Amino acid sequence: MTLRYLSLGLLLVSFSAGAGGFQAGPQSARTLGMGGASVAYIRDLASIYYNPGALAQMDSSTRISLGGLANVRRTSFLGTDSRHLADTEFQPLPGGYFYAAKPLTDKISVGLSVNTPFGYDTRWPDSWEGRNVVQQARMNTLFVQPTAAYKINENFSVGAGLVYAVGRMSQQFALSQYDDRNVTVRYAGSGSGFGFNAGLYGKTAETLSFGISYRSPVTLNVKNGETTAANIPAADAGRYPTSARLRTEVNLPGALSVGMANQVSKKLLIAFDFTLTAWSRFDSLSYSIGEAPAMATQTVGRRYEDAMAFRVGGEYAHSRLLTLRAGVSYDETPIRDEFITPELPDGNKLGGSLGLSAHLSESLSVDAAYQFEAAALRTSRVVQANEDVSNVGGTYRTHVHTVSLGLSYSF
Amino acid sequence: MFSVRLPFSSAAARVASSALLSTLALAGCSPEQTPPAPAAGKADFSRHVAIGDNYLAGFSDGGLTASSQQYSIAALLDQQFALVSGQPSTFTQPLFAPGTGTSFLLPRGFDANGVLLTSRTAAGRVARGSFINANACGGRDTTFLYLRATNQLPQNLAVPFLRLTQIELAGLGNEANLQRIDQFNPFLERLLPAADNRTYLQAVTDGTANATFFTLFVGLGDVLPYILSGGECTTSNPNSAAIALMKTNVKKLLDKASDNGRRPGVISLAPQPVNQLPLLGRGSVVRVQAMVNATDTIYVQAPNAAGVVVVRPMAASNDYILPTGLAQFGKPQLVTLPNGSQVTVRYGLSKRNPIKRVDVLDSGEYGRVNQAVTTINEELVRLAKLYKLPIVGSDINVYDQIFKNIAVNGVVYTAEPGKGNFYSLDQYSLTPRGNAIMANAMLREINRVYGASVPLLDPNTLPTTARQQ
Repeated sequence: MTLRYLSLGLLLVSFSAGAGGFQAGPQSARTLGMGGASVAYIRDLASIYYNPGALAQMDSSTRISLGGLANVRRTSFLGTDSRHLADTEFQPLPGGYFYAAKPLTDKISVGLSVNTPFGYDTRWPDSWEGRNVVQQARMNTLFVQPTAAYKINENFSVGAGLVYAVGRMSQQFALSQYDDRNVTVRYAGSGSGFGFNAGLYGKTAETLSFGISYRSPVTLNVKNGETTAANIPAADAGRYPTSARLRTEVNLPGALSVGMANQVSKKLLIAFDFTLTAWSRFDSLSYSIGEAPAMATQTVGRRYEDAMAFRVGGEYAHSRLLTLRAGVSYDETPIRDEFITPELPDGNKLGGSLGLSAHLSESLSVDAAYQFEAAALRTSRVVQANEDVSNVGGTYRTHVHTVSLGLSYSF
Repeated sequence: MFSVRLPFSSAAARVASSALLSTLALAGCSPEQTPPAPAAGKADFSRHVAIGDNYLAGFSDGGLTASSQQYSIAALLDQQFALVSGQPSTFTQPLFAPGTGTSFLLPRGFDANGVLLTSRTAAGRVARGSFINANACGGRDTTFLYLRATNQLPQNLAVPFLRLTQIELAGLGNEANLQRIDQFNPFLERLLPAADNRTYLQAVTDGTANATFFTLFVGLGDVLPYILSGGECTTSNPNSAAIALMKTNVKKLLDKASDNGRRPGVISLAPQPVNQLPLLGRGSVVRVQAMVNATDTIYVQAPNAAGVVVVRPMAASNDYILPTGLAQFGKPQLVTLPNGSQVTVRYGLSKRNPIKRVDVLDSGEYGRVNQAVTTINEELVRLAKLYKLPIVGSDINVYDQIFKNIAVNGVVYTAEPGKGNFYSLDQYSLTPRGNAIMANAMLREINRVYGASVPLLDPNTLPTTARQQ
C-alpha cells in the first residue's frame, strides 16, 4: 500500500460517520409522537435513554416497553452542471427499542435501555452521476445502557447509565476512471465502544417538571474492517488490492439536553426540549488501510458544527382508552455547506409528528407514531481544481419518514 | 370491558393500518426537483458550424477514425445544444465508414521510467491513394487519400492539421495536388467535392451561409508538424513572416465564422504556454533528469545561434525531449564513432550519443512555437472582446487546470499520458472524456455570455479512449 493509492481520492470519501445528523429518529413510539421532546417527559420508558434521572420518579411498578422503528430517508439529487436527476432507493432503516425499569427501593431504581439511536442506509443508483463518490453507504448501531437512578427527595432525582455501543458500517463507490462500470471499492467494518449517560430530573410544582441530561460521545473502534476492490483492470491491480485491512474510528457525538414539561390542564401536557449535539468535536476523520507497519493513514477534514435542536410535543388524554400525541421539531444540521456529500445529504430539518397510545388495559398499551421531516434544500458546490475533494455538485432535497409501533406494559 | 375494547381496537387497527399505508405511499416517492429548462438565451443553436483543426474534428490517439469522430468536441457540443430544442442533434460530420479511418496509436504500456509506449496501427485505414515523400524532413513520409465523406459541406468543418497560413491556399484540398509537399491536406480533400479548388476560407464562407452559431478552435495546426518533427522541418517553420500571416488569417477566419461579429459563437484557444501539453511537458529537463542520476548530463543535438547543429547539454528550460526520444532515453545503444570503432553508450547521456534533433524541441524552436500560439491567442482574445464572444483559454485555461489535476464528480483527471484520461495517446489531442471536459468549459462560457442555459456533459460517462473497444 503506497501513498499513491491514497492520492487517488479513494479514501477521501469515507465512512460517513462524519456526515452528521444521522440520528435515526426518537427512540420510542411515544417519544416519536411527541416530536422527540423527552428530557422532562416521564410517561415513557425511553427516559432511561434520554434522561436517566427521570427513572427514579416513575411509579413503583415494574415496566417494560418495546417496539420497532423504521426510518426512511428519501433524497433527490439534481446535478448542477448536468441537470441529471437521481433518487435514493426506498430503503427503510430498521430499528427498535427495549426498555425495562424496576424500582429496587423507595429511592433507587434500575433500568435497561437497548435501542438503535444512530444509523442510515443511503443507496443511490449504481450508475448515477456521483457513483465515484458513493453508491451505497450504511451504518447500524445498537446501544445497550444499564442505568441506575436515585431519588434525592420527592421532587428531585438523578441517574446515570453506562453505554456499550456496537456498530456496523459499509460504504461502496465506483472507480469511474475506468470504462468498466463494475469497478467498485467497498469498505466494511464493525466496532464497539463505551460511553455514559447522566441526568437530573426535578419537579418545581405539581404541574411543572424539568430535566437536564448529558450523553457522552461514543467512539466505535473499527479494528478489523476490510476494504475490497472488485473488477480492477489487471494493469492497476497493484494500486487497488482486492482486499486490505481497514482501521478507523467512528465518532458518535455527545449531547447536552434540557427540557421541561407542563401539565397545562388535566388532559393536556406540553413538553419542550432543547438539545445541543457536540458534533464540533469531530474535526476530521482518519483511516488506515493495509497491514501494519506499512499502513497508510489518511485524514479527512469535516469541520462539523455543533447543532441545536428544538422539540415541542403535546400529549392529550382523550379518554381512558386513548392518548393522542403531536409534536413539532426543528433539527439543525451539523454539516457545513462545503461538506455536503451524497453519503448523507443532511439539512436543517423541520418535522411534525403524530402518535397515539391505545390502552388495552390498565397495564398494557399499544403505542404508534409517525414523524415526517423535511430537510432544507442543500447545495454542494464543487471546485474542479480541488482534486482532493471527491464530491459531486448539485442540490439535495430530503424527506425523512419515521414510523414506530410498540407495546408498553407495567406489572 | 372487553366488549367496549373490541370495537375500539378494530377502529384503532383501521386507523393504524390506513396511517401505515399512507406513510408507505408518502415514503415511496422522493422529494421532487425540477431541472431548469434548457434555453438558448441570446444565442441560437439551430444550425451550428464548427471551424478549426484537430480538436474540433475529433482527432484522438494520433488518428481520426469513425469512432473518434463521434466524440469530437463539436459533436459533443451539438448534442448539448440539441437539448434546447428537445430534438436529437442533426449535426453533420465528415464521418468515416464505421470501423475505418486513418492509422492511430495503440498503447504498449509504460517503461521503467514511466514513459508511455505506443505503436501505430493501420488496421482500419482505407485509402484510395497515397504519395510517398522519400525525402521528407524527419524521414520518409506518406500522405494518404481517404474516402470522401459526402459531397455536401458538413457542419463540422474542422480539418486536422489545418494551418492558418494556408487558409487562402487554393487547391489545398484538391486531389490533383497530392504530390505538392506540405501544400495538400487530405482531411480538407475528403470534406470537399472531388477536384474542388476552394480554399479553406471559401469552404468556411460557403459552409456558414445559414449558420446561426459557430465554434472556432484553432492554433495548434500551424505548429504541430514542426513540434512533431523536433523542429527539423523548415517548411513548417513558424518564423516571423509565418506568424504575421497567422495573425492576419485568424482574423479573416473569425470574421467569416462570426459574420464580422454579428453571429454568436464560441472560441477556444490552443494551450499557451504550449509546454502544458504532455507532448512537451513530460520531456522537460526536470522530469528527464529525474529518470537518471542527478550527476548525469543529458546531451541534445540543437542548432546554435548561428544555425549550426551542435551537441550541447540539455538547457535548464524549454528544451523538450519528445515521446519518441523518451522511449529510447537512457537505453544502451551501439554507436559508431568517426574512427569506425563501435561503443555502447546510453542514449542522451553521452556526447557521443546525444538526443537526436528529431527527438527534441530545443529552446529556440520552442520559442518560435510558443510565439506563434501566443500571437494567435492574443489576436483571438482581442477580437473576442471586440465582438463580445465567449472565449475559453485565457481566463479559464483547461490545459493549465489539467496540468495541476482536476476532479470531476470525484474522478481525478491529470495530464499524465495514458493514465490521466484527459490527453489521448498522442499526448496533445484529447480522449472523449477530455473532449467533454473541454466542451463543458465552452458551454459554461456560452451560458454566461449569452444568458443561455445549456446542460453540461458528464465526462465520466464517456469512454476513456476513442479507439473502438
